Amino acid sequence: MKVEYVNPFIESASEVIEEIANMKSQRGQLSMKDPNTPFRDVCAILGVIGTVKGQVIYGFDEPTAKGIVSRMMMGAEVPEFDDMARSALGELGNIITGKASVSLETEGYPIEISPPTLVMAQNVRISSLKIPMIVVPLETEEGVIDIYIGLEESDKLS
Amino acid sequence: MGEKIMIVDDAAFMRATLKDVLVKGGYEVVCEAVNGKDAVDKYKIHNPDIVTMDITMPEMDGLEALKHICAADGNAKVIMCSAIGQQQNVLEAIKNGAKDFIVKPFKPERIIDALKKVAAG
Repeated sequence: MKVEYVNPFIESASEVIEEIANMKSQRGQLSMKDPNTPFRDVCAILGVIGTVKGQVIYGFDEPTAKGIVSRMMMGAEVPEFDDMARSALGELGNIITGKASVSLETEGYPIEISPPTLVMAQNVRISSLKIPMIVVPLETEEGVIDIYIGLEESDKLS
Repeated sequence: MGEKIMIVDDAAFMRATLKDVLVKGGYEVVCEAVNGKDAVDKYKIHNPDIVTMDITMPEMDGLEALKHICAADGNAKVIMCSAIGQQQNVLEAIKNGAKDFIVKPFKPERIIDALKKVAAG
């Protein structure tokens, strides 16, 4: 996977999190995701189609997810993951990916993104993902957000 | 002020956030729609003064709903409110009758400012 597909998501995530969750984030070490290791417990999954296609997944542990949603809702307590909380996290993924898509378009890779799907479960493995994924951890005051990016040029897949 | 607004967004969180901004700004939110098709149906029933319209939604997206609403009502005032601020989307929305285009994440002032301009124009 080309690095120019990855950077827009990291930059966008950092900017969006600062703007709507009011906290700074620090990018950690990139790595390839081992297909045999599970995702984090709460995942917002977005599909990408266009000149590049694949999936982008934002993964959180539950306390991190609740902490971020609380910040998005002006500090309201999030005792459980209800519809509103799930919707907020999906929207966070949507906004980060949307902003990244503008950067990708500027770099010559126009894409479209699907509405987010939220998966909450432990030890999640997603077997339909054939594209190797890069994992970028973003460290925040609420915990680590893992951004899993699996994108390839469309003609390689079709 | 006091215009009747319809909020269209598939995300409950975003509808609640927008509603809060609009109500605090003195607007009346007459209805909320969860996708483009729902928006087209509810527009006919509630006849809002201004619509805020998300783009990426299941069933029918916001650009398609915009076309339907503007075809049914030549005076419809629709403000697009989307995370996808790609040039092509913005141009297509404006070409199809949208009065403004707000990219998420938005600041409350930007929403109120857009509503004031659209209401006046």
